Amino acid sequence: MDLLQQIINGLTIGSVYALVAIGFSVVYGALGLVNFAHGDILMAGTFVTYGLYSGLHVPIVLAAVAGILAGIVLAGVVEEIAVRPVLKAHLLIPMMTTLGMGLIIRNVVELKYGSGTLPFPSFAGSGFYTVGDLKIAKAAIATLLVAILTLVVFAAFLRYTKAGFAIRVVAQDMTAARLMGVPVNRTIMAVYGAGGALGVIGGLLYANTLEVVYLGMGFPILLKGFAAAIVGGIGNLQGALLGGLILGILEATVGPSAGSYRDAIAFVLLIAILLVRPAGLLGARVQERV
Amino acid sequence: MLSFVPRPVIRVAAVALLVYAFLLPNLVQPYTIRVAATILVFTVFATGLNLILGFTGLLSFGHAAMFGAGAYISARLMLDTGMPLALVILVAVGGSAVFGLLVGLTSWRVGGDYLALITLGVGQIFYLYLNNANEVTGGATGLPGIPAGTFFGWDLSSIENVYLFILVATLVATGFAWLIGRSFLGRSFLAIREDEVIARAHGINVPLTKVVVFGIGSGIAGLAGVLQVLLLGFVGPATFTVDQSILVVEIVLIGGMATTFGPLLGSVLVIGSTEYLRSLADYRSMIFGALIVLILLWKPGGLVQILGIGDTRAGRFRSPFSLFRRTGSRPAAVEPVAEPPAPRAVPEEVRS
Amino acid sequence: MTALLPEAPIFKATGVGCRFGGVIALDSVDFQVGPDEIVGLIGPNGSGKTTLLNVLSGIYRASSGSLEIDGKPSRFKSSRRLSRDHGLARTFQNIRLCPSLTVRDNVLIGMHSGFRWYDALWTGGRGSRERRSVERVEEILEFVGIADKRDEIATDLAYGDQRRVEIARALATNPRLLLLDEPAAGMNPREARVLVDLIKRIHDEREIAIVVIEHNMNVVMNTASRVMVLDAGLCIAHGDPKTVSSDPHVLEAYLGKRFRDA
Ligand SMILES: Nc1ncnc2c1ncn2[C@@H]1O[C@H](COP(=O)(O)OP(=O)(O)O)[C@@H](O)[C@H]1O
Ligand SMILES: [Mg+2]
Repeated sequence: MDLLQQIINGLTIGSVYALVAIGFSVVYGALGLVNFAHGDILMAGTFVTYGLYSGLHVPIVLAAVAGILAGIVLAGVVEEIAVRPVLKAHLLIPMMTTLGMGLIIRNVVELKYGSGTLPFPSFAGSGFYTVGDLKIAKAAIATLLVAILTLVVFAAFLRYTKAGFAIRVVAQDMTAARLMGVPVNRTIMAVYGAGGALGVIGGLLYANTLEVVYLGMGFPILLKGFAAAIVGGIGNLQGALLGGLILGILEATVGPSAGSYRDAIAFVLLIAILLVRPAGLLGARVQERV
Repeated sequence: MLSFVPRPVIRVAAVALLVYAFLLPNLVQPYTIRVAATILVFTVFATGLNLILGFTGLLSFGHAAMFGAGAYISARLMLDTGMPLALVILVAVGGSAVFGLLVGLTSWRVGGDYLALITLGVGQIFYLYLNNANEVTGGATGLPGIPAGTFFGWDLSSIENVYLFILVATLVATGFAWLIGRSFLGRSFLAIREDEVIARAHGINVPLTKVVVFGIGSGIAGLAGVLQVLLLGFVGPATFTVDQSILVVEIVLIGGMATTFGPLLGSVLVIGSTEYLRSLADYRSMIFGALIVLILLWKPGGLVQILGIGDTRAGRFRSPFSLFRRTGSRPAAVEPVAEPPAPRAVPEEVRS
Repeated sequence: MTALLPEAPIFKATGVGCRFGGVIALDSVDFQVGPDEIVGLIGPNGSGKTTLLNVLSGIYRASSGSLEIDGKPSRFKSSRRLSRDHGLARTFQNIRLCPSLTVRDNVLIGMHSGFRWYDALWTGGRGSRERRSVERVEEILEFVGIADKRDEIATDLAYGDQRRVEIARALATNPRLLLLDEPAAGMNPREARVLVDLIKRIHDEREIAIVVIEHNMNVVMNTASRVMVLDAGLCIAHGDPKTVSSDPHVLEAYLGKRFRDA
């Protein structure tokens, strides 16, 4: 039963990682680029919700929507300023420019909220449901439900909407997409926006689970989301989901015995996967065109 | 900016600056000496990263771990053994180089952004280790009271002498990096950065070269770690956080990737402004973040390019920056890189 | 047709195939190059010519078939080994030059096939070896006719010149077999004539075997002693240039069935 309990806890946090990983993977799949501002964008979006919800007592749903919108806008701005102009440059350049944008975003949030840890009351209320021996936090249930809902909505968005179709086309072949009249620039913007939205939702759920927000929260979420994306096979959405859940469960089961090295689990998993299967669990090896 | 200044004038100015650097301890307050020494330590640190990031284009986000390895190894040796400082330096540099080689081994399988993540992870794990392995690292309190060293009879207990020692070490490290950069090893770094397929197809051993550059860059960062221990007489985990790794990335980018003096210039700006512009402390990462974005978008050669003191040598300008030209601040002198649409070619014989 | 095949080929490929997921880029191709040949490789776009070159030079892995270089199996040899140990050099259809390096530095990269990385440790880059390399590169730049552009940034050059920098870089590896992928693409007729001349000189003066992919039939007809035609990953014709260019299968591949008998 203890193990089951841990697995449920793992699934909860894992679904958060999965959301962030999918946000990451969408961007990576479309552009082959990592957005190093992703962590700061989701942190900033979460803080927007926090400010409205705790400070101004705006209803949580409205506050969350505002936070997600903020994430979309920020991601769009990062894309416009730091990615679009250097899309064809060396891989290193967009990585660095997004890093720079992340520093700026983080500094702005720090000016407003400082670098301390702030309480974020879980929007599901505190307390537990008990099922047999299992104690499941209400926050965890809320997290799991929202995460699953988001994933389903996002999958439907990719599959059934025109914008989603454009994203998949651009991911296949940007040049061909442009030639076929797909509005590539707008699609890239949409990709970043979607990534930002998923990131903020992940950030909110993370805050909801831990019941705190803090300036540095983007960093561990980013790292673990990134690790989950790679473990599953970056650019592959099912893989990202799988990677997130695996990572969450590993952390919950192995974590307690790892003590203060708990945060290292993600990396050990990551390094192991990369050494054994660099394309990730579900990723396919692609031959670079020469 | 300085390109209109005749080259000999720049040379004279450089020599004057060097002389001034050596005379500095007699001219200014100890606080200023300390700041200058810190700038030099970070110059060495960034010089190591510059080989990896600037020359070879490998993103290491965990360079503070190499810096820390050098610092902790030397601190332990100085506390526990009576080893002469020269030997301590050798062991610490060697130790961090080996550490770097091991981390670099992962680049055998993965590149680009994955490597960034792995190095980030290594940096994070190393930081956890520093905080938790109390018997070895002293945990969160670190290791205080490290005795001042003597380097072949040169007593390094006064801040003036430590500064001079660090200055000499900086010159050695910079000179070493300069030699490597202009050797054909440096050229293979650049080739790997620009196009691995090309490098491979022309006989360059890409995986091995990457591991080697990681080793060299980490060894240099380890040297910086030793220098910091000499300067502070103390090590603690706070100086080896991921933020520190990002700081040194900022220094390399702002100073100018793949240049000899970029690390120095970047360090002067980043560390100097941190020390002297405390009123700006709240806006620091915003300013540097914006600077990074601006530099990468318009002047990828960083301060070296902005000041126009590029690494020119005998008709060879090895700028790393035309890399970015495709996206064009300059009018493209090049025909579009895209293939001209090759017609579904018809052999002439066939046509007739 | 068989009479044309070299007796002691440098390179011999038997039944090589290469696929990417569902795409069969090469189906099953036999291919040989002898030490004193210039072989032309033609075929419609997408027929697998570049893929064949990539497989030969170790950049792609063949998914089937066998490859031999100098009589030794080479299917799993890396492009580095093929360049360093077997004297295989090539150019690229989509020009690949290091965009931040000068012409001379780009060509110097070709010299690296003779270097070991640790050499740098004791020469510090100033040793006689580096000097000799620079001299040799100078000679090669003269040979291909771009010596006056040596200090320019390689990607600033005109298209035709960039192609010649690539050839110079390939020559710097001191090859025995040179693979050229559409060297005349983007060149005007005058440049193409100069190129024909260059290819012949590389072959005659430097005794280098050459495989050339080209759509410009002037180039192929004037250089190749043997031509192979690929279509959809298969060899559809093979022989001396004149016969091949009037082969009905070739006409069909290029122009479609209707024109075959026209
Ligand atoms: N790296 C790759 N990944 C997927 N498909 C490829 C790759 N390289 C080539 N192809 C496919 O293989 C086929 C042959 O291409 P190619 O060899 O470039 O033809 P050619 O050079 O004759 O024009 C094409 O359909 C192309 O799309
Ligand atoms: Mg081709």
